[in-house]
Amino acid sequence: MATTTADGSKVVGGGEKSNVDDGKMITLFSSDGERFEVTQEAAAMSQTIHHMMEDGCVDDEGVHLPNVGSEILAMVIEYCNRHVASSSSEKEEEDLRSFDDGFVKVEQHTLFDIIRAANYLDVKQLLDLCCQTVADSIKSKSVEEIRALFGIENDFTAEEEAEIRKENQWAFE
Amino acid sequence: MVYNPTELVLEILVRLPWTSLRRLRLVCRTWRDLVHDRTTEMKQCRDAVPLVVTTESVYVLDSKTSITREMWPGRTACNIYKSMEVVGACNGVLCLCDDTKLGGAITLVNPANGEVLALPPIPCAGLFRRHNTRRPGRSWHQAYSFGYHHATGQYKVVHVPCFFKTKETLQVFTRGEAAWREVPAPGARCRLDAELVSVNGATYWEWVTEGSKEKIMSFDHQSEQVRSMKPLPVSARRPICQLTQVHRRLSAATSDHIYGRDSIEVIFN
Repeated sequence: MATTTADGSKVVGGGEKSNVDDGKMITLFSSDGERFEVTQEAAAMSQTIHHMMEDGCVDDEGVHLPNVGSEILAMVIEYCNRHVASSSSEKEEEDLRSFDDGFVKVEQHTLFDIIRAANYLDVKQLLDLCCQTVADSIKSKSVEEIRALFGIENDFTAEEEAEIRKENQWAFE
Repeated sequence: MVYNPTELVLEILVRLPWTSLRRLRLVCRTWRDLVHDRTTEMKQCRDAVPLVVTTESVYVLDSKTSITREMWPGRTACNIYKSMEVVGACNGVLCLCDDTKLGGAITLVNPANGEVLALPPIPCAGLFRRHNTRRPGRSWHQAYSFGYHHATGQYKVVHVPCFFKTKETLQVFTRGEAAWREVPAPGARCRLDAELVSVNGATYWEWVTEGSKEKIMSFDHQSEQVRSMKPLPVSARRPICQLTQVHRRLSAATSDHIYGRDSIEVIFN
């Protein structure tokens, strides 16, 4: 997990996996100015950062991510570090599944923040995981609960709403 | 206030089955429009047209004008499709089987836009028992089923292991691929007269084992896994006559011979 080094910057390591043989590091800056050191391999799980590295757009300082706050960035980095070294052993897959299950057990608004970050950073696996989690959770929710969850107002006229309800009835809801 | 760009809401919606999407249209106008315009099933459902099948031909009914249009006009085309049985329909796409061809020849048709896709014949060599291939008028269509999975967006035609097949395998054809694929299905033979059902992205069939135990087998279109459903939630005293679907849920029609009661039970939500 994250540890703070002497100069105040955070280093988010990959758990028991050593960074030594993974090669180069890259620095990421969150929107609130926090520094994160990540292996280039883990960072490349974000297609956005990967393209920046390929196109030589990353200077000595690192990559600034104005759209991602430190709390969420730390979580995304944790996910990438965990998933980057993919071995196909069954035990490893089981461990990853447990990790993913625990990873998404967060507040709904945090999950939405992660989705936005995963979309901006283009980390497909993470986007899939979180979107599927939200999809599964709304399957059983009522329309009113979903509106409350997403902060949506009902903007239908009575006629529009009635028309949809009628269609649903005809389709044997 | 939670701000969720439309594209991200769509990412969540496309991971939901049609039964949820239909309901979620009621959340707000944006969600309604997303479901209508950007998800496959609703788009095709809204384009779907009523089909009238008679002994002479097949007609498409325009519900607004009530004008009927013959689906395959012209004598030659009509004769080709006259002997076809309907295997199934998904999102307005029809799956037809020509029983006059060995193994049954499958064609997918979309009456709304006239698209026709003739599938390659199922690889018959060594697949069917010889005495079954010689009988004329074989009901090959009974062993086929047609389904759609909302998560993959794929249409699949499935041929199940049954008494006239030599192998306990499924033959699967995915629309967009070039050929049939074999999926092993040991111990999963189908009792054809109980009918096959494809619903919500899986195909189901029934089998009675040697010990007279009923099993419902399922083939998931996404994972392509063959599984047996357990335990069977219907009364042991009432054998299943037929699998069917009610309100897009797998159901079983059972018959109580002693008391003369027939019923339909929903098996699976």
